[in-house]
Amino acid sequence: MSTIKLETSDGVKFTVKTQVAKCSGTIRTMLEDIGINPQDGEAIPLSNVHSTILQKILVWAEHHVDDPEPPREDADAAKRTDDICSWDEDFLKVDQRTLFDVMLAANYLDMKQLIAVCCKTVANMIKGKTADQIRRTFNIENDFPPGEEDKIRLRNQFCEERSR
Amino acid sequence: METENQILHEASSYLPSEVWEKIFLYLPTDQLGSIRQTCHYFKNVVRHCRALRDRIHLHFPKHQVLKKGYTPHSAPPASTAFIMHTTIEDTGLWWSPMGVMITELVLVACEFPLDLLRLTPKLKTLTLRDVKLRCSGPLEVNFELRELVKLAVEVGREGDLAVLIVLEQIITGLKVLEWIGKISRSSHLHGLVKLVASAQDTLDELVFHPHSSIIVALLQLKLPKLKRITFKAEYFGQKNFLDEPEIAEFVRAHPTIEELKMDNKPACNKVLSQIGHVLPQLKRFDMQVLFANEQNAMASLTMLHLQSLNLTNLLGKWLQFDSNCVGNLPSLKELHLTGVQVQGEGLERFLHQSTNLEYLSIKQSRFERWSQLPALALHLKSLVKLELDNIVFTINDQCPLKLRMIFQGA
Repeated sequence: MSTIKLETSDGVKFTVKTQVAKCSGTIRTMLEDIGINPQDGEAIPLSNVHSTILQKILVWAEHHVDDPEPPREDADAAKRTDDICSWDEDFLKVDQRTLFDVMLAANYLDMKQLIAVCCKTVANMIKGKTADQIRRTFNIENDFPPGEEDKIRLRNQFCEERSR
Repeated sequence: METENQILHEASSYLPSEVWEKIFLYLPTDQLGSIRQTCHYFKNVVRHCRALRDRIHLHFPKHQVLKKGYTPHSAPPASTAFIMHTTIEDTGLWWSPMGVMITELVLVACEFPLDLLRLTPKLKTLTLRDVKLRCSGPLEVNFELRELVKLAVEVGREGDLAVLIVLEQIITGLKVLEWIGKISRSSHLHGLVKLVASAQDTLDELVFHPHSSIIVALLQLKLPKLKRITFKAEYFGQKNFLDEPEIAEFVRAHPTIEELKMDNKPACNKVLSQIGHVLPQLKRFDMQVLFANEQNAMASLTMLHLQSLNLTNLLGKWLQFDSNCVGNLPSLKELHLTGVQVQGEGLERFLHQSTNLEYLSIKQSRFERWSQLPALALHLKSLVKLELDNIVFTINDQCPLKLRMIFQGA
C-alpha cells in the first residue's frame, strides 16, 4: 500500500496511507495536479498544522476514508445540524480551542466533510442563544458602544425568514 | 466605512470569516439577529456573506409615508426587499446603504420616486404591481439597470403610464418579462409593446395572459431570442389557446420557442393532438389542465424534439392512457404526470419510442394493478429516477405489502 510523508509546523513527520491523505483536497491537488511524487520520500510540508492537531485529523480521516461522496447540497435549503453521526460526536467532544484548531486545519487542508461536521457542532452551540449567551459561550467581548446594540435589535425586527 | 480587518477579540477572529459564514449558514435565519448583536466581527461576517443576505427578506412596514429623514429601524443586510402599500416621498440617505445590496425588489401599490431604482444598481429582479411614480417636473432618466434580467409588471386600471416609459429606458439586458393581468386601456397596450420592443434583442422569456389584443400587438415585433413562453389562464372557462388563430400565428412566428407552459381548459386531448403540428420544434411542454369535465383519452402525440413533458391534471376526470394512445417521442428524457389513469399497457405504448427516458414521476394517479409498475419500469431501459406518489390501484391483486409501501412513499 502506498504511503506518503507529511511534516507538520513543529517538524514532526507522519507516514500516512496515500488514500487517507487524499481526504484532504489540498494534498490531493498537490499529488494529482502539481505532480509531487510520493515515492521521492520527501515529506510534504504542512506549515499551518501542528502535530497534535494533524494526529487528530488523521484519526478522523482513517475512520472516514471509505465514505461515499456526499450528495450535492441545495444551497437554499435550510441545513440540518442534527445528523452528526455518533462517532463524530464523540470525536469532537474536545475543548473549544482544540475544536477551533481542528477547523482551521481542516479549512487549510480542504476537508469538506470534516469542516461540515465541525460547523454543525459549533452551530449547535449557538442555536437558540441570545447575543449575550453567545458571547459567554465563546468568550467574546461586547465591542458595541452602549445603545448601538439596541439599534441592531430594532433592526432585526425587519428580518423575516425567506419563505420560498 | 466598515472594514473586515478591525482589531477583534481573539475568540471570534480565531476562525477566518469564511468558516464563520459556513457555521452561520447552518443556523435558522431568525438566529442571525442575535449573531449580529454579538460583536462587530460577526456583524460584518453576516453583512459580507452573500449566501446569508440571500436568506433575508426585508419587509417594510405598510401604510407609511417614508420621508427624507426616515430612519428605518432597518437594514439587516438583505438581497430582497418588499415594499407594499406605502408611499416613498424621498429616498433621503436611508435607501442607498441597503439599496446597494438589493438584487430583488418587489413594490406593490406604492408610490415611489425614480431615485429608488437609481440607487438600487445591482437589481436583477424587479416586480412592480400597481405602482405610481412620484415626480415633480419633467422626468429625467439618466441611469440604466444593467443587471436587471427579470421584470414583472402589472398596470392597474388607473395605472401610471410613466412607469412604463421609465422602464423602457432603463432596461438594457432584460431576459424575462412577465405581464400580470389584463389590459384595459389602449395606452397601456401601447406602453407594453414599446417595453417589449426596447428589450426585443435580449428577451428570451415571456409570461402573459394570451388575450388576443396583446397577441396581435406583440405580433408586430420580432423577438429573435424568444425561447420560453408561458400562457396564463385568466379564468376557468378559458378557450382552447391553440384554437385561437393569433396564438398559433404568434408561436409560428417565433420558431426559436423551445419551451411552452400553458394552463388550459378541460379538453386537453385536443391540445395534445394539435401541439405536435403547431410547434414541432418544442423541447419542453408543460400543461396544467383545469377542471377536466370529460373523459380525456390521450390521443397520439408525435414530437420528435421533445425532451420534457409535464401534464398536470388537478381537478376533475382522469387523463387516460389506454390501448389507443400512441406516442412518438424519441428524445424524451423527463415525463411528469399528475392525475392520470393507466390502463393495461397504455403508458408503455405511449413511451414506445422513448428509449432515452431517464426520469419518470407519476403522482395522484390510478393504475389497475401494481404489477403494471414493474412491467413499465422494465420497459424503460435508461430510467435512473422513478418517483411515485399517491398511487391508487383499482384491482387489488395481492400487491406485496412492502413493495406497495415503497411505491407509494418513494
